Amino acid sequence: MMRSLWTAAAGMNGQQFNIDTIANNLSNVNTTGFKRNRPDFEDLLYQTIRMAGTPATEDTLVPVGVQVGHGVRVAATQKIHTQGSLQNTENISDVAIEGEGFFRVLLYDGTFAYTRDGSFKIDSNGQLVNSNGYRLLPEVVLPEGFIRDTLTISQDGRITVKIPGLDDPIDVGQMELYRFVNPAGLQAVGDNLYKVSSASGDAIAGQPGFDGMGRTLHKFLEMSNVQVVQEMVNMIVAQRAYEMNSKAIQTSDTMLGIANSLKR
Amino acid sequence: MLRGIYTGAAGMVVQQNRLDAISNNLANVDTTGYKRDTAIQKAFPELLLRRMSDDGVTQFPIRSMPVGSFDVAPVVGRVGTGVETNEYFTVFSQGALKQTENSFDLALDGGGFFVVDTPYGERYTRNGSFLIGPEGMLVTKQGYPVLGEEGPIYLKLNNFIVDEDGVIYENADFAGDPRRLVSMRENEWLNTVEVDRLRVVDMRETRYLDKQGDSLWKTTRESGEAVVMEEGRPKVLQGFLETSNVNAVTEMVQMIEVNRAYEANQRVIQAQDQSTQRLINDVMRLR
Repeated sequence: MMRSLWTAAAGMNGQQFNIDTIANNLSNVNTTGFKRNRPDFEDLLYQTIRMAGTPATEDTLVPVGVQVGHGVRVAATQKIHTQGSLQNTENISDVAIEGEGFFRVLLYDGTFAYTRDGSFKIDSNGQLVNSNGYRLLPEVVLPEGFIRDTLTISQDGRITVKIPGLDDPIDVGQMELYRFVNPAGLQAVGDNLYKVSSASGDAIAGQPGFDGMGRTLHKFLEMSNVQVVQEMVNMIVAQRAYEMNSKAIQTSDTMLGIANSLKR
Repeated sequence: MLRGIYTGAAGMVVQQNRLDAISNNLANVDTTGYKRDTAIQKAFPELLLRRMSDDGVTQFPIRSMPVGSFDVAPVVGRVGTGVETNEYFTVFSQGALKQTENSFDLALDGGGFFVVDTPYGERYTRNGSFLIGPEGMLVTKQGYPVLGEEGPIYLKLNNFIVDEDGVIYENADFAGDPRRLVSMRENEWLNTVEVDRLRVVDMRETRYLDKQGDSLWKTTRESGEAVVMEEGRPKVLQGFLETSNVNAVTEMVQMIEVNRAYEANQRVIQAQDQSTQRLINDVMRLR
């Protein structure tokens, strides 16, 4: 009936999606290792009402066509993998990655997932697991009767701990980090976890602090990289854009009303 | 029947077309690299009106005396027959630049376009929110490779810098192995080499570019071929995105104008309708 109605509706939908993303970013402002999302918009396809290049007279052509757009669509939501700020927690099983890389955990179904959330726990077997109980890979099992406060993780990922009766700390494992050619292509599956997708490329393993991997900081956690001010500004823009699109719908409606009142 | 009714209707249709363009602009107010459209109207052909059954000679009681012209069918004047949408003109003015601090975001400050290699041929875009593909290629959000002057560009995160001329540099120490990724900390840029230069092109007449959606444009016969820009090359800014150049105030004002113009045209039709009604029902009333 009236193209502009649907065009503006597409605009409102887009802005609604924008607000959804902003709301998710803001609600995760305190989530460890959270990376903010950014929606990217693109214009929808154009309807060609008159083709350019069709003959106008015998020897001239119509130089420019009439093309009208149909609104907007969400092209992608991109995770922005910038470093979040680091918080000192004094908790012996917390590790933050300063720089690039992800920890790998083993899911219950035997597949791998990757996370920046280093708030690990020690389970009843003395094994390092994440908050959901997924095991950190390569597996780290602490020896029986270890002294809790002596657990140390070096910047290159070596885990050492003291046990009673021995003077020297013993090596219990080596952390590994994993990187991707395109980390923005990782698939977020919730619970602070990411899965490999064909867009991200395969995981590339490495030791923390070497070969482009970040360092592991013991007793630190990485905060989310959401910038509240930025999100607030985005929210204002989104709300106003939503409002403007609703005005376009109102105008379309008024105009239809005017057209309707032609016939009394 | 009544010429004016169709003239008024043409006016209403054109205002609807204008609103289509405004709505599309408002829907894309947040779209990276979007350029706003304005609907341009043209008048329908004008008609020349003549007094057919009369000449310019007026008979006075005493003698015949010429008034006005001596033409047999003198011209009364011209009358327009309405309006139609001629073109959606894309305004290629610069959009505001927004800092994103994402190294894959590129913005053009000035005229010109990035070149994207799609399966349907080369397309041109101002949307520089690129990504890196799994093979390390610089791609758009649809996965189309972004072209440098020597073809697709292979990069690594934290190991490339784009200068204002669009030249891409990398540290050759980390360039070889595609599985050797780089961290920001370790890259000291000791062995900087030039990789390629982004292909930034322009056309003779950007006005005649064909809009493809997805922020892409296509060249047409009228727009001319895409030529790599040397003079007047825009600044390429890394870590920035170009926002859309839609001005909310102008669009809202235009929307009000459209609404009122639409209403005015409707009144024209109603007036014609009323006079016809008067003619049929009152003047020729049979008693």
